[in-house]
Amino acid sequence: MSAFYASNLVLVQATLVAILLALSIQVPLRLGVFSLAGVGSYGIGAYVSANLVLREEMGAVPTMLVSGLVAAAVGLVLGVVIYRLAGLYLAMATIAFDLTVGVVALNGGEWTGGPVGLFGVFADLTMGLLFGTVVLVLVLVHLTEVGRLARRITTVREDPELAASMGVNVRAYRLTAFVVSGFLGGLAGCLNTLTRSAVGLQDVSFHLVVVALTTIIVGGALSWRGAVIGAVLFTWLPSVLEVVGEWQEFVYGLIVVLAAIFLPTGLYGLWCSARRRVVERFRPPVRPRRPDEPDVPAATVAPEHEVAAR
Amino acid sequence: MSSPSTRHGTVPAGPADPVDVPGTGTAVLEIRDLAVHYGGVKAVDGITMTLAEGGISGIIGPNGSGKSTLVAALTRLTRLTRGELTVGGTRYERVRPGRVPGLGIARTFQTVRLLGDLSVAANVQLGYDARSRAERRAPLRGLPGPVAEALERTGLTDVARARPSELSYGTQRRVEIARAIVMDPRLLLLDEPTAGMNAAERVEISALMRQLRSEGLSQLLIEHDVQMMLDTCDHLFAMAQGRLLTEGRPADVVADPRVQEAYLGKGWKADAADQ
Amino acid sequence: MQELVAIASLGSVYLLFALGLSTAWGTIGILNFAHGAIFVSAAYGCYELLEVRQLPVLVLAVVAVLIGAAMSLLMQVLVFDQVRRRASSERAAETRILIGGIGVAMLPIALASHQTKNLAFGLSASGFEASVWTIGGVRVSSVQVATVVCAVGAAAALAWYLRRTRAGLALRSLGVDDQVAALMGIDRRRYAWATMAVAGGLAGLAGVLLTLNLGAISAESGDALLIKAFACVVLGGVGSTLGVVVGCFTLAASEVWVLTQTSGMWVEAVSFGIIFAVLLLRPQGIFGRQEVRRV
Ligand SMILES: Nc1ncnc2c1ncn2[C@@H]1O[C@H](COP(=O)(O)OP(=O)(O)O)[C@@H](O)[C@H]1O
Ligand SMILES: [Mg+2]
Repeated sequence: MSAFYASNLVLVQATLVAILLALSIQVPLRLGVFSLAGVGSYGIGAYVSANLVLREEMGAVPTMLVSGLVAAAVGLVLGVVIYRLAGLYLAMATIAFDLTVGVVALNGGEWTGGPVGLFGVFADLTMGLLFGTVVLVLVLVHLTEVGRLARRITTVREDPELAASMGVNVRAYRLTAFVVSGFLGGLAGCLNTLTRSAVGLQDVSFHLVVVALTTIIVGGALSWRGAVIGAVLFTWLPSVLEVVGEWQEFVYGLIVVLAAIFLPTGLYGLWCSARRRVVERFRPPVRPRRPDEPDVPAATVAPEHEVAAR
Repeated sequence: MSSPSTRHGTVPAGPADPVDVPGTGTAVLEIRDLAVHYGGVKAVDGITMTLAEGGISGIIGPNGSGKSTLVAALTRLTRLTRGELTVGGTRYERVRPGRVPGLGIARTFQTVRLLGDLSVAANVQLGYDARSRAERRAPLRGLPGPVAEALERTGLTDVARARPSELSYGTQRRVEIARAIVMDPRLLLLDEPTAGMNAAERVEISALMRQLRSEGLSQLLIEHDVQMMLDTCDHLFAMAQGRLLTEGRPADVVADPRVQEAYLGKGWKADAADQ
Repeated sequence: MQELVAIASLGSVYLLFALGLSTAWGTIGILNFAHGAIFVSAAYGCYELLEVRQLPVLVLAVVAVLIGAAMSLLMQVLVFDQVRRRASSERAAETRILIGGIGVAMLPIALASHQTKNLAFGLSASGFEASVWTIGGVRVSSVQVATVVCAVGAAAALAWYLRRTRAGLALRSLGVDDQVAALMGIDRRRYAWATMAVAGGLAGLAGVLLTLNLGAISAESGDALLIKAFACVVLGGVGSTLGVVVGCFTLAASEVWVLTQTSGMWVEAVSFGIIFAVLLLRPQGIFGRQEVRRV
């Protein structure tokens, strides 16, 4: 066990980071906000944390908090600017944001290390802290997936106008999506920098958009379990399937296409609907009520007066 | 059903008499010179009306006369071109739509808007979720009392765990109604709540509305079914082309030649074909 | 003056690429994220072909058009049509078409990257040498002239087709309201296939012309071009051919200007800035029709 753990430490760390990055895309998606800005936040968190550690010699916990908060603040500004955009326009605008972060990183001089990046970012991040952080985030996300909040989030996603009629401040929910996405993305970027002790342009590339989107599309976009499934799958697949190796990108592409066509709710959604079908079998079928059932109050209106009966 | 207490006061439940319940005389909702224009389309064009507290008001008018747009304006879902809205003494034409339920206004939609991924009970719970924290009790197990009660009153208890898509259209409409009444509003706006229901189901809904009135709930009902309007409403408005044609006692309004013309002239047949 | 030549040829490459993207999006509602992959694949296909056999550059251009058209059509039939058929709503389809496009784009790019080992590839094996003319101190190459002619010609032909023919009208009506269009007996699938084939062909042509222009391109260059084309389309207005033309040359001019003004690598950010500015200030674009783009 411990040998396995030691030899796969990097993969475990990568999985945990991938979960957070996937969540930063998934949380807005659950609110019907097709924002991919979490990847830009990831870049912001990655570079901010590197600077905090290298220049301020900050510890791991404050670095995580500050990185997350900075990315969340940027997310809020971005959200205020573009939260009204719909669907694809929002997606493309946020991709543009992600790539803008990349251009800034490229041109950032000594703050970003330009094309070379920054190295030697060592902080007191322990495996326990990393693990604990991810678990804490998952618990908090889980709380948004049960009960009243879950219902309201679903309504905001499926029918914003109905949500408003149910007393939901849709604008606030959508803005919150940007902030939370920013924080989670920033946190993920920070943890990536701290676990790898380096940051570079690969941490702000379009490729990460693909990775994050792929993770939740295949895992499932409507629950944190989907993000976990996807993150585990895509982090471990290459090491499990040796053959995949050099054809990794091709296999991933194929998986994404198949998921887009056949798995609208991802693997987790597939599991849920399968479970539902089993439960249904043991539930008495819905009996449509017939109009002549006795609990109709009799003799209120004589039906022949129905002028417009259709 | 016993007489439930609402947050707007307990009202003794008595036998509902369609003619003799004029409301308390005060206004629950005042609309002044309301207009909603979509580009050149004057969907609502200068409407002034007052809804009596505790009564059932009705609006009739051919399709396209602006009734649904009026309801959208009253719930702030559409931008007003001009006009003033007052509910229970509070001006609200500038509040955001999410605060309208807090003012005591609930509505149903002309086209059923239920969430397909949620059960009937969860859809109704959405209405309960809209209540303020102080008015909500979430039991550890099962449904909150008012949700169960709303399901019961709309005859949905048997299908509480079904998905909306498994239900007939008329039953889906009842889920909409249950979701609105569980919000415990002071004013309920019903946009063609019985479209797609058969005669017996309409009778049920009409009875439910009068029961709710006897509990003190003010209502605005939009329907094409003239007989149902005569049986249910205390006061009737007639609209055509975004304007108010006339208002008054239901029987008088229905008998008004202008109203008959508005309907029979072009709307009547179109209406029947429309569904 | 030399800058004007640069703007004209760069804008023309954008235009060839963006025309198809814009038309498919504005009419059949498909924002093809694999459009950049088609562009690269066509160039790469020509490169591979040259390894086997020497071909004149005109033939290569035809081959590129065919590769592009075939790939685009294949994507439509195998991916986008399938997503549409299974999606519950138009909105769900939109998202999944985007994702499907991202996925399908990975396939040829992975293939090309693998074969080229991530190195840039060119078409020099064709033995083609562009002639360069110097007119009043301004250098113009034959490839640049060909690019401009192709792009402007394609835009004009497309505009004429959409405005003046019955089929064009039918296609545009799909963009306005596809349900009404269906009632009028317009077969959406057929039009979708034709549109995607034309869009892919144009992207393929753009791929060969840009490769000849630059000497070499890398397998990854499609993504950047996609975002730029998106900027052009958004700037001009979705569904407006004139808009795309204006958008492409505006972007090219801005980029060339930034390139001459700054020493750094900020030029890539121009298109992102344009996207933001347009979506905020005039979301329907310069020539776009008013449509519901906000919620
Ligand atoms: N969002 C909108 N944009 C443009 N016109 C609209 C819109 N909503 C409603 N209308 C128009 O306003 C008029 C009134 O519609 P509506 O309020 O739905 O009538 P009713 O409910 O009485 O049948 C109709 O002519 C309709 O076409
Ligand atoms: Mg209506």
